[in-house]
Parts: sequence; C-alpha cells; structure tokens
Amino acid sequence: MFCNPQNAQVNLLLKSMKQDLRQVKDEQALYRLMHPALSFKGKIAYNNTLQWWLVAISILLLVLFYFLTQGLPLFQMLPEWAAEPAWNAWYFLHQLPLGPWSPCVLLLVVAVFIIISRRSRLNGLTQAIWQKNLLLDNQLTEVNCAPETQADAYKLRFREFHRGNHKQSIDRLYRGHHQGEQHQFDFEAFDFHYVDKHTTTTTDSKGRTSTRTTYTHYHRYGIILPFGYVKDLSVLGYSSSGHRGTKWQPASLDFRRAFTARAEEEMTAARFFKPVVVEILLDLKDAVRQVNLEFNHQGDLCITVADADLLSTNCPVSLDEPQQLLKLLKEQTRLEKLDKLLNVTHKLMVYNDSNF
Amino acid sequence: MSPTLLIVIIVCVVIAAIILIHNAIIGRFNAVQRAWSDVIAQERQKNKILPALEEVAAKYASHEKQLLEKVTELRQSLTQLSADTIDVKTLSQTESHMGALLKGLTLTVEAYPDLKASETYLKLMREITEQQDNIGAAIRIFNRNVEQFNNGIQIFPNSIVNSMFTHKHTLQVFDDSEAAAGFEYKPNF
Repeated sequence: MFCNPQNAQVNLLLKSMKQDLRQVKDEQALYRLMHPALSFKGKIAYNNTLQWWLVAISILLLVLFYFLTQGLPLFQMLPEWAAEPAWNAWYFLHQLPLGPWSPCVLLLVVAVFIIISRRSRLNGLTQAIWQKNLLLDNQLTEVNCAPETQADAYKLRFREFHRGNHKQSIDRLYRGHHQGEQHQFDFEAFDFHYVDKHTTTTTDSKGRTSTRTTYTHYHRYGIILPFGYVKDLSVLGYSSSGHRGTKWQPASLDFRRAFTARAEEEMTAARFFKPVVVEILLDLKDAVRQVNLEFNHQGDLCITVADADLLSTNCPVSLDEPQQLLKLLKEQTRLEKLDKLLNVTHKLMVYNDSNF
Repeated sequence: MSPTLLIVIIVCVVIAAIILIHNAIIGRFNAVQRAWSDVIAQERQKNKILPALEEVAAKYASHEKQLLEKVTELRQSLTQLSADTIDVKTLSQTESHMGALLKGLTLTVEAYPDLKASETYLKLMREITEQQDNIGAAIRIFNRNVEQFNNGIQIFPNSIVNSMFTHKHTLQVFDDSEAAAGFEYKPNF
C-alpha cells in the first residue's frame, strides 16, 4: 500500500545509481551512469498521492476538531445513526494522553516526512552526481581523511584554524593542481567546519537558575599550498583568530578599510605589499566574502573565504530531467571562485618572485 | 537638564567633531604623501633594469646608439623625481622617457631576432612588465587617495573645519597627457 510499483522502480534506480556513482573516476563513466535514468520508463519521481491525501485528511480533521472545541453543534446536525458513533469517537480521542489532536498531527507529520525524505533522496543523488561532475571538470580529487585529525593537523600549521571553542573538522578535502603561465603548484581545497559553544545562566524572579547551552556552527572554505616567497604574514579581511605580528598599513586608504595586515617583520610586509599586490587583494575582496590570507613560517599559504560555492554549486536541474542533466554534465563547469583564488595566488607568485 | 549643561554638551560634541574631522583630513593627506612616495619608489625600481638595458644596448651599440641615449635620458629623469614634493609633471616626463625607451627597445628587437630569444631579454621584459604594472597600480592608488583627500576637504562640514583650522588645498591627480591627447573627447570639468 505504501510502496506502489512506480515508487519501487524509482527506489531501485536511485539505489543502483548511488552505488555506481562511487565507482565513477572519469567523465565517460559519469555519462554512462546516466544511462539507466535516460532509459527509465516514465518520469523519475515518486508518486506521493497517498501521502498528500493523508495530509489533506489530517488538516481537515484538525480544522473540524478546532470548531468542535469552539462549541460547534456538529453532533446535533448528524443523523441519529451517526451521532452516537461520532460522539464515542470524539470521547475516545479525548482520553488520549496527548489530547484529541495527537493522531491527526502524527499522521500529518509522518506523511510530510515521507514526502520530504523522498524529495531529498532524489535531490541528494542529483547533487552528488553534480558534485562529482564539478570535481572532474575542475580536476579535483577527493581525499578521504579523518575530519577532526585533519583539522588538528592544519591547526598546527595555520592560526586560521584556531577557531571554535568546541569542535573543528575538515568536512571535505580535495587535491588539485594549478598550471599558470609562469608558476605551477599543487593545492588542497577544504571545507573547515567549527563549532562555538555558548553557555548562558539565567536567574528568574524566584531566584531559580537555569543553564542553556547553544552550539553555533560555522564554515570557512579555502585552499592551502606551498607559496615560498613570503613568510609570517597575514592579510585579514575577516576576523583574526590569533594572527600575530606587527600591524602594517600600505598607502591605499581602500586597502586599510578592507584589510588588516600583520607581519612578523615589517620588511616582509614592505616587500610584499607592492602597489599591484594591493590592487590584486582589493580585487579579490570584491570577488569573495570575508577573505583571509595567511603565510605561515614555512612559507605555505592558506586562503579562506566564507563562500560555500568555492567548492560546490547547486545543480540547476534535477534527475527527473535526465536529458537536461546529461547535457549539463557534458559541459565544462568551472568553480569560478576557486579559479579566482588560484589565479590570485599565481599573480601573487609572479609579483613576488625574482626575475633575475 | 539645565540649559547650561546642554550648551556644555553641545560645545563638547562640536569640539570632538572638529578634532575628528581635522585628524581625518591629516590622515588622508599623509596617506596621499605615502602613496606618492610609493609611486616614486616604484619609478626608481627602474634603476634596477637600467644595467640590463645598457647591456642589451651595448651589445648592439654600433647600430643602436639611440637606445643608450634613451637609457641615459631615463636615468636623468629618475634623479629629478622627489618623494618629498608631489610633482606629477616630472612623473609624466619620466613615463614619457620610459615609453620612448620601450619603443626603441622594440625596434632593436625587431632588427635582431636573436636578441628576442635571449634569456636576458626575456627576463628583462618580464621585469619591465611587472614594473610598469606596479607603477600603474601605484598611480591608481595615488589618484584614489587624492580623490578621497579632496572629498574629505570639500564636503560639508569638513570644508568649514578645513578652511578654519586645517588649511589644506585640493591636490591634483596624475593624468597622462600623452594618452589623453589620443581622445577627441575632453571632459568639461
């Protein structure tokens, strides 16, 4: 009753595609993955007719119950043969521990949950396929890592990861390579997730104290790479997380408003902040949100931003339009903000290396 | 609140505002001077490439005496630039000398294809490109700072504070008259 043949077929299709997606290593395999979806008879969508009926009936009953409690003389309006069973049912519902509303609310919640979970299953697979496509189009390789261990390892190298008083993890990690005109480098792209824990104690008028703990989740996205030309310098367009050094202000008033720069040695900052570098950083600030750059003592560079679309974007079409989706998969989709960070990094290298 | 206290508070607020505006004008003026120093510092970076340019010119000296002369003109022009006084005219002349030198270099390279392929020339061109980018950026930063400084002394109520206490004059932005001559359109400022 709950699983009609169409839904069973959709379930089967999604399960098999999900399994196959794990094996996908190149673009051709990704296109092949779409074959079962393309040959699927009918639309790739769940039939939620039953669930929608349940939602409608539950809402109707809830409205009816509301008017009954407001004194609507419904039982008097019913014919004699129906009035007594209706009254008994109403009496039974009143005996329920959570009140007469509870069965309807439960039915409503279950029906809505089934509809949402089915939709998210379909959208989840679409997004997973799209994410794989983005990785392939941008020549990124997924790295399996222990999220918290990886965050700890980064924390040892960069102060940028000294955020969150409760928990830090690297939720996603990718490796890539950038080939510029003059320089090339390997990089790691990451999704850094950190949690701040706040505990507040309140006392009411009777002197009773209560403690409430809240957890706020944050994400920073970025890249790490060996830079080599600068050490111990931070350019902060977002809040500092313990970045050290002497404050340095280049001549640009716009830069001073947009960034705070810190360097262990002033000479490092004086050499680094060439006018063209200042312009590159101001341009970067306009392209991404809350950008921070940190050159650590080893000369590695960590750039972080607040833009989630650095590493992923939403798929513009769903799997229920497989032809359209395949067409999109066959196009090259660049992660524009990632490209921007990589190009900026390359420019910073060009303007900091020595030509002689 | 008594009228005397109200007057005292208003006077204090006005004095604080005057101090803040005065300090902001001075801060922006200093930033303009600093930006000008950066322009000069970047211009003087050209001294770094002059030996390499002379090396190229000397190698082809018998045919390209003009190139050496242009290097000398640029060197003389660089010595006239001062970080202490904002002199956009001399800066403009230096940029013209650099332009003439680059034209001469291009002609030399066209006459000698082996020079174009040489490592010294490639490194030199890369350095010249980066230097020109830096000078361009330094001038844009200077002009932007001048704009903000001029705004800072011309807008109300800063104009009153400036005329009564700070006494700063509007500054001239750098513009390339040679490039501007190429346009038929002339803005009627």
